[in-house]
This record gives sequence, C-alpha cells and structure tokens, in this order.
Amino acid sequence: MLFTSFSFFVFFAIILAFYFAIPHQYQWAFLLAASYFFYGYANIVYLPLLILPTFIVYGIAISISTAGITPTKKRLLLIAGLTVTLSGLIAFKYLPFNLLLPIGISFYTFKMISYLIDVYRDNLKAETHAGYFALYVSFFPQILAGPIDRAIHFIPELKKKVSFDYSRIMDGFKLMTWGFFKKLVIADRLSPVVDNVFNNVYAHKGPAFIVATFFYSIQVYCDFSAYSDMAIGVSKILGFKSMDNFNSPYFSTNITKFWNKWHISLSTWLRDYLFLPISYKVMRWIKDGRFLNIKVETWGYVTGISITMFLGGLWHGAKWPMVLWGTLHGLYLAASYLTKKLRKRWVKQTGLKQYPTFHRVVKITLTFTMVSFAWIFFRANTIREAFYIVSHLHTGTLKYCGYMLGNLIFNLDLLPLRSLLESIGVKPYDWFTLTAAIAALAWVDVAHQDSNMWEKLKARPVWVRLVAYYGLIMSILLFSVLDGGQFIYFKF
Amino acid sequence: MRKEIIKVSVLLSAILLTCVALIWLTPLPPSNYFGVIHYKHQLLERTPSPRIIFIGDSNLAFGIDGRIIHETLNRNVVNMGLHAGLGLRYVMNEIKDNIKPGDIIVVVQNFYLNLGCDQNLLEVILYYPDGTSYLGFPEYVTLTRKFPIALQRRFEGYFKNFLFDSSYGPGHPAYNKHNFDMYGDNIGHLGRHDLKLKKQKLDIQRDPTDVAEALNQFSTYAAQKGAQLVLSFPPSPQTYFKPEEHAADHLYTWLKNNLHFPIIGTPRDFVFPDDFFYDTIYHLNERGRRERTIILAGELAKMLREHSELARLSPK
Repeated sequence: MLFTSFSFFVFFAIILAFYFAIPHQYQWAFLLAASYFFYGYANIVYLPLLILPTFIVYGIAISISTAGITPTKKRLLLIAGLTVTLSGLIAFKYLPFNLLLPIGISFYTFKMISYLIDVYRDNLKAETHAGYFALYVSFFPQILAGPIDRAIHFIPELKKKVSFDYSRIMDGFKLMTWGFFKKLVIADRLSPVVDNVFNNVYAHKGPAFIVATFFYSIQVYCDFSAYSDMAIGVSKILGFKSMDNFNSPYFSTNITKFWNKWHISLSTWLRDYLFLPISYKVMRWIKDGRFLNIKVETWGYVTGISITMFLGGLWHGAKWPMVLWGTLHGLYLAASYLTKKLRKRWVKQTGLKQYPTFHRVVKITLTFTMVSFAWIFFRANTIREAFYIVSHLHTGTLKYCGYMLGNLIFNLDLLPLRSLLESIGVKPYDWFTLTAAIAALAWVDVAHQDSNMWEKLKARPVWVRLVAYYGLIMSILLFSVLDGGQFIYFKF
Repeated sequence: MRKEIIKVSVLLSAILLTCVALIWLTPLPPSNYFGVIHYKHQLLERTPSPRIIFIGDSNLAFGIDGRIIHETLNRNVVNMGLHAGLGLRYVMNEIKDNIKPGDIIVVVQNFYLNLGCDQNLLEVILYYPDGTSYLGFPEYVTLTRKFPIALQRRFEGYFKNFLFDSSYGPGHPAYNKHNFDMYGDNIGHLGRHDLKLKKQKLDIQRDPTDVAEALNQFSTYAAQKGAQLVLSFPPSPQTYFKPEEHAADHLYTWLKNNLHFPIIGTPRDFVFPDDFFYDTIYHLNERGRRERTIILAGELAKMLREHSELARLSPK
C-alpha cells in the first residue's frame, strides 16, 4: 500500500477515525493490528517472516538482560539473536534462491539488530511488553522504507499518552504534503526520463548520460526523502516523533557532511553498529601510536569507513554496481579525511578563503558532482553498463557544449538543450514543470539548512502561509504524475 | 481552535473553487472528440424505430459503416460507440430511456469488457451534463478517484496550448466531433495514413461474472420495452490475436453459457490483417471498417432470419 495510493488514504482515514477515540492503554494494540494489516496487504505470505523473528528477538533480548547472566552466555545469546534476524535477510537478499524479496525486510531487520545490540551493551533495558516491541518493529509508517528508528527513542514514545493535538496533526499533514510534492511532481516525472537513458545506455552519448545522471540524483533524493517525509508526517499525526532522515544533503560542502545529512537513520546506524566498533577494534590492534608511520586514528578511520561503506553498499543489494557505489563512497570519505590538511593549505594558497560564498559554492558543486558520479553505479542495471556510461561521459560532450554555448551567445536561444532534453524524453511541458519544481525544491532546501522550514513559515503572516499551502497543494493536483511507480527504496 | 478551523476551511474552499473553475468554467475545446456525445444523443432521440443501436466503445465509432447496415437490414442505425473509458454500465444506462419497441441493441465492447468507467467519462459529462443522470454509485466513486487526472488534462490542455503549440485548438481530424456522419460513425480517419500499431495485449477478460449479470439485466429491461439485446465482438489484428486466441475462445464459450441473449459471430470472425487498422488495435481503417461491417451486417441478417422471436421486431 503506497502512501500515495487511494487505498492508503482510506486506510489512514479509518485509523484516524478510531485512533484518538481509543483509550491510551489499547492504542498500541490498535496500531499493531493496523501495522500487520498494512504489511500483510502487500503480500500476506511474508507476514510470518516479520512476526516470527520479532518474538524470537523479544525473548532473546529479555534473556540477555537477565540479572547475573555471564558475559559468554550474553555474547552467545546476542549471536543467536543476530543469526535469527540476519538469516531472513541473507536468505532472501543474498542467496540465489530466486525468492521474491519481502518488502521492507532490510529496514525491520536493522531495527531488530540495533535493539539487540543496545540491550547487549546495556544502553537499553529489554522491553518486557511484547506488544510494544512488536509495534516498534512493525510500525506501519516506517516498515517499508524507514526511517530506521531506534527502540531507545521509539518505545518511550509509545508509553506517552497521545491526545488529539491540532497543531501536531497539522504539522504531520504538512510534511506529508511536501512529500507528495517531491514524489509525485518531481521524482515520478523524472523517472521515465532516467529510465529511458539508463535502460538503453548503448543508444546514448555523453551529454545524455550527464543530464540523466543529474536527473537521477534529483529523482533518488526526491523519491526517498519524500517517503521519509510522509513516514515522519504519518508518525507525527499518530503522536510519534520519528528521527529525521534527510537535511538538505545536496547542499553539503563535503562528503562527510553529505553522509550526515543523507539517509541519516541508516548512516547513524552504520556509524554506531559498524564503523565505531570496527575503528575501535583496529585502534586496539595497533597498540603503538603509529603504524607504518601513520597515526592510529587514521588507520581506525580509513579501515572503519571503507568496510562500513562496502557493507552499506551490499545492504542496498547483492549486486556489483551497489557494492561499487558503497566502495566509492568509502573511498571518497577516506580521501576526504586524508586530504583535509592538504585542502586547507590549498584554499589558503589560492586565496579562495577571501571569497567565502564562492568557496562554498565550489565545495557544494564538487560534493554534488562526486555524489552524482557515484549514483551512476547505484542506478546502472549492470556493472558493464555502469562502466560504459562512465567511459562515455565525455563522448560528444565538448562538441555539444560548444554548440550550446555558440547558440546561446550568437542566437540567444537554448535550442540545443531543448533538442537534447527532447531526445531523452523530456517534453516541453515536462521541462517547464521540472524547472519550476526543482527550483522550488532547491529554495526550500536552502531555507531548511539552518532551521526548520515549517517553523520559519509559521512565523510568517497568515496570508503568506495560506498562499504557500495553496500553491503547494495546487501544484500537486495540477502537476503530479498520477500513474507513477513505487518508491525506489522499497526494493532494498 | 476556531481560528484554525476557519483557516483550513478558507484554504480548502480556495482549492475546491480553483478546481471547480478549472473543470467547469474554462471553455471546452470546441472540436474535441468527446463533444460529439451531444449529437449522438440527438440522433438517438430523433431516429425513428425500429433501429439498430450500437453501444460499446471506440471500436464502433471507428469501425462501423452505418450506411451498409442500413442498406442491408433496411433499418435505421444509431452508432453510440465513443470510448472504452465510459464503461459498459454507463453506455447501457445512457440509452435506457430511449429504447423503443422494435429496436435491436448491439453491444460491442473491447475484450476487457470493462463495466466501470475511467476519467474520460468526466470529460464526456462536461460536454453533456445531462449524462450525470446515467451515473451510478460506482461511477461517482471512480470519478472522485480520477478527478485529479481529469483536472490535469483540462489544465494541461490550456497550458500547453498557451505556452507551446496550438494543437489544442482545432484538434486532430480523426478525433474531431465534427467528423461524425448521420449514423453516428466517425469518418475523420477515413482515407488517412495508418499509424504504426503499438505493442499491446488484447487484455481478454476471463469469466466476467459481473459483466454477464449486468448484461442479462439490461437484456431483460430491453425485452420489457420490446427491444432485443445482442452481443458481438470487436475487431482484432491477426498478429495480436494469435497469441491470445485460446483466451478469446474461452471467453466466447463462457459468454455463450452465461448470457441469456443471442451472440452474433465469434471473436475469430472479426480477426483482420494488421493493415486493416488505423492507429490502435481496436480502430479499423477504411478497408477494415467496410469488411467488418459487411460481416456484422451478414451476422445480424442471419440472426434475424434464424430467430423467429425476433421476426416481430423486423420492419414491416
């Protein structure tokens, strides 16, 4: 059941009609039933795959937190718990059984893993209420594509009394509406254009690859952040504060900042449960302060980030392009760490520091370009096609740029750009809509960088707010692609 | 709280008003294909009985030559076929009030036999507001769901026309309300170059219980008014029919066993070479239209001869 579907509207309307009327002590049961219904609606066959590990992990976590348990037994229980949770994921995602991947399996598996480890580390007391834990795992707004909330935040939220709060509910709806805009107006309009190029790579040349890669960068951001906005919005309406998942990532000034703003719930998960343990382990191995004349912290960071990003790529799918995408980001992050001083010196020498705005624009552009380049591997259907695109990015590009510039200077028109866009399936109406929508998105993302855009809007006069909401809703009604597809991250 | 409710009401009212204005107040394209619905209803009201009334989708609009039927059967012909998106339920409802004794109603819908409508019905209603009286609850539900699509179509039409080209104005000759003849047949595509047929499936319905039920009810209603309902099949291009011929045979047998009124011809009788089609797998060109009409007229004549109970429906 897609958030953008009519069936979800009906489902959510029914939930809202009853939810606030139900006494607090039974609300969890209602939400749990709704969540299982929501998950089973996609394919009832996979419901046991969600329920069974949930209750096994629930039991194991309680055993782990039993007073007086020996460290060995505790560790064995953790391994047993991790084996149970990961076995489903590995069987469906990584073994060649040709089984249809249960939707959301990567997300709820990560939720259970973080819970088990937190209990093991004594950061969290095992939840004794099976219903609360089951709801944490299966909470319907988050189950299909996150955010991967932590039990340490979510379960206390469950215990709080939720009442009908008009302002909170409206905030939730606003987030959902913004999500609809990003998904239906931008992502779904870009999708056929990107598919047109990436599914027929041998029919295209450099300029088409560059435009399609740029479009895919926007598409994947709008698609995934839209889902997150909707999930957070729905959670908010129901009285739960979900963790943020995106914070204007394409305006990051370096790759580390990008990962602090992109898929935050996954990147923090990877940081806490993979990167930090690996880095500490490496640093403990190297007992002296340096190894091969390189500082121990550097060894820790580079090894930790490389393995983490490799596994992060693998999490997205057992395909070489995905693994390469993750590895490439690992390389970016390692290089960014290793060249920090060098870059600082270079900035000082070139005098870029005296022009902070220009310097910022350069950094944002470079980061965006690197991220977009990596998306080629993420989107490509095969590794061969990914390398074909990469090796043909320059084919015809210079000639095309000259042609475009010449036309712009001497004829004052954008005919070459229009022809290029039309050749990859962007019709005049689409480019008009897309330009306006992407400009609006960029404007909002810039505004959202320093403080919450919705809070800023709240401070404006009523008529400004009404005009903004009116414009947003009308643009969804008039410009959305209504027969668009699934969310990209559902397949992970 | 009261203030907040007022604000939300103002916002929703403004959105609703804009939508209503866009849908109902902006002028309709004068030559749009759907605009012919008014003329078709006039034909239905004015043409004297006994008649052959064709109901169904665009396979009829593009693929029937009313003159041949008229000359072969010596009956008046009204071709109400327009678009599959109107749905069988609507096209049956819209002729109910005008069924007269002696009429023979021929239903020919695409193989999917869709009972319900899609967003195209909303456009038809805009041209023919009286059509609202033929809407049932399922149509209202569908139109509510599909409202944004209809809204976008209206908006895009004007927007594109304003910004990019003027094709919205006169419209394509093959899809123009002015190109329908005295029988309600579309003649705008005749003599034009055929377009390449897109790859698509015939999408043949399997065991359409609800359709059979609705058609049987309609047949009873028609009989009460002294008319006869018959069913026939749409034309299909050879290469598209071949992979689905068994499904078509199954549908035919199923309908034969479940419908309480006559079926004329079989799906195989209406399979034609691919070059008999104009732009889609259901729209015949001039040659195809003629061949199909001759076969259909022959089948109708045969039925009238064979079924003694229909003899009383024949003109004196």
